[in-house]
Amino acid sequence: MKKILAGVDIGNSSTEVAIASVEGDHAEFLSQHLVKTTGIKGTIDNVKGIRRALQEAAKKAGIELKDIDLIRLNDAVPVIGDLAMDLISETIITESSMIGHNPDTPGGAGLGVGVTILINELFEVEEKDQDYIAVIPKSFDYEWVAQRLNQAESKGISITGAIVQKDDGVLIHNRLNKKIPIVDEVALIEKVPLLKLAAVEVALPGHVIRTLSNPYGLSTVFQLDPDQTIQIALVAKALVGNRSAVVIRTPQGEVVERKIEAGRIILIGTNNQQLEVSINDGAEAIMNTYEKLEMLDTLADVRGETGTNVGGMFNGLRHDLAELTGQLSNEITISDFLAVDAVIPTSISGAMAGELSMESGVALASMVKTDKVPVQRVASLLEKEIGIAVEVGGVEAEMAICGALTTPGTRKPIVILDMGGGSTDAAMMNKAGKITSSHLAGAGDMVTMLINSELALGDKELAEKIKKYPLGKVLSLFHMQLEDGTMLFSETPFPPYTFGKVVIREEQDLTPLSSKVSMEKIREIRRSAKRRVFVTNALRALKRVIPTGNLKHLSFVAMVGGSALDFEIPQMLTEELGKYGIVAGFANIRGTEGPRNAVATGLVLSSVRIGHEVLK
Amino acid sequence: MNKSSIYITILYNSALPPNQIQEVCAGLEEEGVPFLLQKWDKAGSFIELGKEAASRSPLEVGIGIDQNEDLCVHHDKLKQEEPYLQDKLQNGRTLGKNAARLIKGLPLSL
Repeated sequence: MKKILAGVDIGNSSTEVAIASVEGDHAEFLSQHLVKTTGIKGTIDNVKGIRRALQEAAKKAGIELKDIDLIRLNDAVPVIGDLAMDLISETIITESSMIGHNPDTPGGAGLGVGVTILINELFEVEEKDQDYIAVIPKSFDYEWVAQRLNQAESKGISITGAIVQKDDGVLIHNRLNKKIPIVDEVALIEKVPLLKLAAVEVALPGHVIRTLSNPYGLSTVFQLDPDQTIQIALVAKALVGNRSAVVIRTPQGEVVERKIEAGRIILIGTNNQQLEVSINDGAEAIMNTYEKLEMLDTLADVRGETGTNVGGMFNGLRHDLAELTGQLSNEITISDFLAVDAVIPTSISGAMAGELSMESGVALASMVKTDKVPVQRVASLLEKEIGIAVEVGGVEAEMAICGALTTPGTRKPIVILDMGGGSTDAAMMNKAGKITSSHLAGAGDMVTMLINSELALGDKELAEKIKKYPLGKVLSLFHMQLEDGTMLFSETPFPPYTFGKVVIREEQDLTPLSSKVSMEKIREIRRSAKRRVFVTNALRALKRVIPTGNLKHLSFVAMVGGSALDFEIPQMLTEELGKYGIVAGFANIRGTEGPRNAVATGLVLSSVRIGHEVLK
Repeated sequence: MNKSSIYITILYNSALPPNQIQEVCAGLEEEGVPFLLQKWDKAGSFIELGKEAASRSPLEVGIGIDQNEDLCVHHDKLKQEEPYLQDKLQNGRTLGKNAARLIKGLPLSL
């Protein structure tokens, strides 16, 4: 007898449905559909999304919703992950002592050293033998400024450089009788201290400054002793690579590199083994400590040292998850975490043109065990609402393997890597069909967080787009350079808001990025974020599911889940796992679906107990 | 190459006092792109002037300014009715700057 079966997979971000007509041990798949998951995975809010997915899939299959005889749901256990990121070091420059920025068009070239003075107070100076640096706020017109500077020059007042608020550097420079270096577009010019010794340096186009970015250059200019030189070395470091800069020395000025007490992570094992590691030691040390604990014991919980950054990080996490699940926050335990090194741009205190310094930090993704939320409640509600029998199928990992085995060219023993938004899961099925699985924290969302932070975007949606699509750079009205260096021509001009910019190439639209970071750099950050999360986690996950713990004993790895759809993550893993002689690639469920629909397909197939000998 | 033969053409309605267009020129000068100012005695909208300026410009980019103080940046390869940028004369500095940046291949300030 023919029966219509629907497999429903509720995931963290999407709900997938597969509909098949089943006769005996033969299943013929009719349609599939994907919608965004409504509510938190495993809660009754999911029903809304499931109904919509079923309706759409039924429509595609050319049947009525009521024709479906049985719906099989995955045993959706909410695996909740959360992300946190914090600084471990910070450069603080007090008493504002530098401006290092790259206006597109500074004026002149060279180095000027002198005492800062407002342009309108130029003629009131007393000491004639002193060199001056003119400070020019935006209320002054360039013609007037140039005239004033020329006048001062003829009166014998020596002006060796200028700091300008507006974008007037070249205009002023062109009108001067005696040429001086001019740094312009200094937004917070009112913060420039007056009557203090300052140095202005501008390099020729295509060059970078050499004196102010050299600690001994600074010590020469400001006549510093060795101790002061050590202090000012940080300023030089922050100015490396700039085309122009201003350094102002204020006697009480101080530069320090402060190590923030980021705190210690305390790893607690089930047998009360306890290991501690400091966040300041970096991601590698943290993950090594974790590995050490796993050798002795199993991780039961993770805590952060109270009163430190990391303590706050973990407490916030527990609090959020407690609210989400309705549990008490002390009942929530962390079952896994992933730490990766991150670069965190931080605005320099005391900077005058909004400069950022790149500080090192650690990003953490953690996974939390919660009590099983009864998916049965979802099943009952769904059954009541649509009047079709609903049963809860097997464990997600088993279903995913069952679905993954429909990929042409695979056989048992096989390992699947399910790479989603919050977690990376691995499951292995041996020859006998026995399955072992592991859930690990850190996946697509962590990549998004790293991109968001390292490019200082402050915009998660934009970071998500950078993760998903390749880049291009609009070079002229009609052509664009792609990531691989090839050129793309367009018959219609690129819109003005994209001109000269690095753009994200979505299917239809171009989204311009406002930052000055080069396409190569953005690509590097994107790829490195993916590598840091997915390569690390794939290796971690695989080691846990292989009985021998040795990756060389594996032959087939099939990647499934949303992140397996990414345009470069699967290739990175294919490359990395290839080193161990593993055949790794993204699955092609039923030979047609790509890495999607594995669990939904598995739910249908597991009920007819057949392997991968399935006809479409 | 003769330096003076590389420039952006600015065509402006002769009814406008020259000091009004000084800001447009300042925008170009700050970016370091040469320009040639030309008066236009006949009638014509800023878009027609822009297109004509672009066709006269060796850099294929031109600026047109009419007596209503409207102005545009045009490119020789674009259709006349679709100038690349449009603005009012009070924002002349930015428009001049953007015309120059179009030549330099740098992002525009919008």
